[in-house]
Amino acid sequence: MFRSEDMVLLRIYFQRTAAHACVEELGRRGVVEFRDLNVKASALQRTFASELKLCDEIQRKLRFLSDQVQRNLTVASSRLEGPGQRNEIKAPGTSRERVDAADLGSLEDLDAQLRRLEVDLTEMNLHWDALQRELVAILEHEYVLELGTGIFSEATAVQSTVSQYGTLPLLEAKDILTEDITPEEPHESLDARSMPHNLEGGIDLSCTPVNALLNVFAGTVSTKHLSAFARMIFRVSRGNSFLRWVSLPEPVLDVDSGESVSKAVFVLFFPGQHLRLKFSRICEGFYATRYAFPDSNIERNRLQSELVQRRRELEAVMETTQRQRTDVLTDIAMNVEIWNARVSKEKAIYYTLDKLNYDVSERVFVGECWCPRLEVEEARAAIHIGDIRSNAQAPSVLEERYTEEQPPTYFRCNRFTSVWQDIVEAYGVAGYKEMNPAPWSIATFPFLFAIMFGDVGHGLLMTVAALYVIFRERQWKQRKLGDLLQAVYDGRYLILLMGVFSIFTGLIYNECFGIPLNLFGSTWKWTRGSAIACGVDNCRNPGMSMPPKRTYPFGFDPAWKIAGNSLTMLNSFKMKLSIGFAVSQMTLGIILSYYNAKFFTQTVDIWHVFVPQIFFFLGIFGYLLLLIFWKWSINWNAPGAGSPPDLKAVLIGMFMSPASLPPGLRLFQGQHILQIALLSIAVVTVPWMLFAKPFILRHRFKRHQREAYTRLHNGDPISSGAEVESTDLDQHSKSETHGNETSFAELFVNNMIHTIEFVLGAISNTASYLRLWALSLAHAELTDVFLQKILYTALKTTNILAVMVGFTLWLGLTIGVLMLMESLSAFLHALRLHWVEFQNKFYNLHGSGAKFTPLRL
Amino acid sequence: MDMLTFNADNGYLEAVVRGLKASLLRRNDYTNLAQCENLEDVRTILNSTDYAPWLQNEPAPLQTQALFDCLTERLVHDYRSVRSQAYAPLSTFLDYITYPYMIDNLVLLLMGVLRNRDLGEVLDKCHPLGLFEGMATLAVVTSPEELYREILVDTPLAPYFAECVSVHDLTEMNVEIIRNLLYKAYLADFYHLCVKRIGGTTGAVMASLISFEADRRVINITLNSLDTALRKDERVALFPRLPGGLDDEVVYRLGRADDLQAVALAMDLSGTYRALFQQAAEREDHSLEDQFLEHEMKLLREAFDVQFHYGVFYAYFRMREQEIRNLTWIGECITQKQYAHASRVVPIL
Repeated sequence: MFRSEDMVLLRIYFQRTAAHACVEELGRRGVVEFRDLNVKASALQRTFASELKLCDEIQRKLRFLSDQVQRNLTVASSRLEGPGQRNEIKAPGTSRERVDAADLGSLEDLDAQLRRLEVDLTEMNLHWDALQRELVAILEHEYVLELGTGIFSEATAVQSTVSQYGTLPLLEAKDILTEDITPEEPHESLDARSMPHNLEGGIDLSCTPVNALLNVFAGTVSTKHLSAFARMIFRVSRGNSFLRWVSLPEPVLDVDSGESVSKAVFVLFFPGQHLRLKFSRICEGFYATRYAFPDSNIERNRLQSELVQRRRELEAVMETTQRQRTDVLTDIAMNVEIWNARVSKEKAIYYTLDKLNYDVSERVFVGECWCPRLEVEEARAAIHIGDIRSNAQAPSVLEERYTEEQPPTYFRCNRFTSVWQDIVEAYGVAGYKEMNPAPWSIATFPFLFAIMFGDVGHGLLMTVAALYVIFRERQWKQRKLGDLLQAVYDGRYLILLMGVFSIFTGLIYNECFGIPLNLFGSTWKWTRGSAIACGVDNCRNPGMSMPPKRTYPFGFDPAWKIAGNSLTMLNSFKMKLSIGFAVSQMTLGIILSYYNAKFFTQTVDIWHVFVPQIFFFLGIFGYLLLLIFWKWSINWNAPGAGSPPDLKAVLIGMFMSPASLPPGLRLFQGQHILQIALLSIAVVTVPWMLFAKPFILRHRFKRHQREAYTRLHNGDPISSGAEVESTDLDQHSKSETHGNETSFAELFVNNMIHTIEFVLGAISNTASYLRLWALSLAHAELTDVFLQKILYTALKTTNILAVMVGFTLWLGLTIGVLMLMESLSAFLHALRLHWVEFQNKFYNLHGSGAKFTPLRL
Repeated sequence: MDMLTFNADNGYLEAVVRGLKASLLRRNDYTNLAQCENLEDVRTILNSTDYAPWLQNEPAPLQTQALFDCLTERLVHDYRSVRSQAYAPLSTFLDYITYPYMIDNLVLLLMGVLRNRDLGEVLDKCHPLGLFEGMATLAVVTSPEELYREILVDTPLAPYFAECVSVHDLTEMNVEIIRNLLYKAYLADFYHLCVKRIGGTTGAVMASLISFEADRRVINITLNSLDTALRKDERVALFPRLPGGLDDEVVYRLGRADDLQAVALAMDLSGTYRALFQQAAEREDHSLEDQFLEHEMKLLREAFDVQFHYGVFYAYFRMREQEIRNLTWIGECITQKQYAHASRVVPIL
């Protein structure tokens, strides 16, 4: 838990025939991470490229099938079978087990099966589309007849008006036309202005039907193209045409795109054969469909009833087709998930197999993988089972190998600890065997959060919410959750601890939704005689305002809530508390850096990094903490105690004027001597940190180099002494040994940056912990404001409605602002304190490691 | 000024385009692609690039046409997503990038009409970025004047058509002339947009790119019109002339050139193009067109070295276009089993 598990590099020799089964078994146990031995090979050059291609192809087919299922089945099944069956189709079931249970034959068989289904389905779709197209055509035709007749009769009405007035130019006829237009239906006539010469052209309107010499086109065009269509008609005919349109009451299905488009019925009148050709081309160009539109009413009615008849027949045919299709799709829907899981699994196996090396002479696959030492037997068992399953002639062989490489990092987590591990790894993955901050943060993270979120009521709400999620863990695990809910689910144990810790800090602060709890009876009382409150058991003389003899047993006395100086008191307390936790947590961080250095036997890092750091840090901030507690432990009310010194002034004075210590800043005997000693330690440690490490490393490097040369000159076999020397070089310097002067400069600069960062960081990081105080203050004040301004104001009105509104508002704000937003901000600040202030003392100082990601099927 | 204000409106899109540029195929990708034995291998290699999601739903034996469609679809998707987020004047600039496609589509359709091809078939071949309203009704026109009045008047090409109206009837020769006249007017307009209306860094970068395009057209028109019925004064009228392009002297000589020799002599006067000419003559497997393309890619790459200008958008889409040409070429080579030629592509990066 504190350090990565022991990892070993395994080399496995597989029989060619057994490789697949073995990898599958290993994957099922999820204990090994294969290394890619063919890094240089492109995707094409790998052994199993064709199998992977087949997997891709099957996946494509599956995508097509499930797309079809999704598009058609939800609609179809709800219509035809009712909702009951759908649930059955969607019944999830863990697909992995089902895949394991059902042996589905080879991938090729699956591919063939899917190909058949795809072809069938494509054919069905074609057929279906054809049917639909026909249906849409009939529908549109019906609309054309229905709406076109309206347009047509209007036109005839104009005709009769025209005939009444004799040679009335259509310019005026247009006005008549526009008058009949109902506002909802955008009729339009573009061409009236240029009609007159058409009239003069000799169409005898007075006695013949309107269409005697005019050609009529009727059809539908999508409204999107309508204006361009109309413009084009106008332009091409130079105005010698007459176009009217009515939009359809409902959008029509466009079979090709599968979307509904709004269309309009148009009727186009024009003279002459020349235009006929052009217009028919234009209609094609704008995807306008033309439909037969007989001149006489009787004809139209006959056609209409014919259409209705055909539509009925067609709908009957479509229903049977749809049923067939639904059957096929239901079948597919039942299986698609299994197939999918199966293919993904095969793909993963082949992808892994591609990482193996194929030894041509021995006809074996050679794989290298990382495995936790504890799991080696498990892996051996898996290979054994794989061998048995595939009837391999020779058993696969597993051997441990020694390696210089850094293994991947693996922390075994359970569902409780994994949240903290994730939080830590979001910052960076620990190097192999590096100290893991996650176990520490299990306690510190919720605690720092709770300092900022201290309220019994809010803590209770949070605990209950977390408990609810934990209670429903099993059910939620299988459900697909939204992003936000998923985050809550993943962090459920963290939230639980945050809630519980908040209850504790809430009890300390003595706040429950901002109301103090008088659990043990306040020890203060306020009398008319006392200027300020005095202790219950120490109030013989109210004017004296003595503090109580018996203190409140746990947390703050509820009386502080109504005290005039409560803020001053709380601020001072919380500020000093923050400093206290700052110093403790960062000291822990520095100490952990010692354990890291010790583990890797980096003696330089212990003596020249850790020691000066801890001296420097404790010398200044440890001293500050000491002062805080010292000051707290003195009873300043006692006679002759004097006035308490300002600790800030003490610390600043220690640096700015070390020579003198004014009596007002004096806390204890020998303070001045101690301060001078501490200051000199701080002054010494900075150059120590800065120069010692790089120069020692350089010295070692030079000596190492010199020895290497002399050894070469002597031609002696390597003496055992030299070997010991070189292993003595710690890991850090080893990485630098191949360097030269330039790498020394680099090392020096690096070290300088680290030193400056630490020294400046010591101050700024400590200050950064003051956010604990600030957020805690903000939380308490916000709670108070909501309580006072909303709930109490509402209660004061004694109007039921106002109380209800006020309560709802208060509840909403409590949950929305305090529980959600405030908790998020407190969470983020706790996160920052861990990532930056805590972890930068010891974690990932020499670059991060790689996470162990086992093959898991 | 560009440095101060460019990012306010265009910073995001510039970053997007620079990111997209990083996904262009590199030389080693082309080396790998040239080793493919069938189009499925090509797919396998492209699957490890940005193209994976675009190809994944194509059925198994991949066809060159399908490959081309997928690639184009990606280009169009890139263009549309950039265009839909662009503010003026970048949006105008991006619109201008599509006009050449429109011109090409127009010419393609006119040729189709002249040769009595099925219009639907020709429409399928049209580039999706160059679609304009009324394309499908092109069959109704019989003369350039009608073409203008009935169809083009609504499209952005309308202003470019002014000179073409004087062309009398639609023959294949005249369609070619119309194409060149449209391009001439387009380039002049685009140049005006970049240099005069947008100006700044964009103007500086685009000026060189557009005038290279113009010069290439001048040379190509000259080369293509040798030994044709085109009169020399007509030829000169087709030359797009932009400031910063070829010298007057060179253009004058090109206008009077009768044969390849004369063209080469004229080119001697211009440093850049002389080098291109010589290389084209020296390298056997490289045509002049390839040389031009390589030079263009170099210019486009250089456009990416400068920041805060619109040239990167132009450059990216041109590069992507070239990549599609390259991949289609490789696809063609592979389907026709001319594996040796598959490596003959114009590298972009």
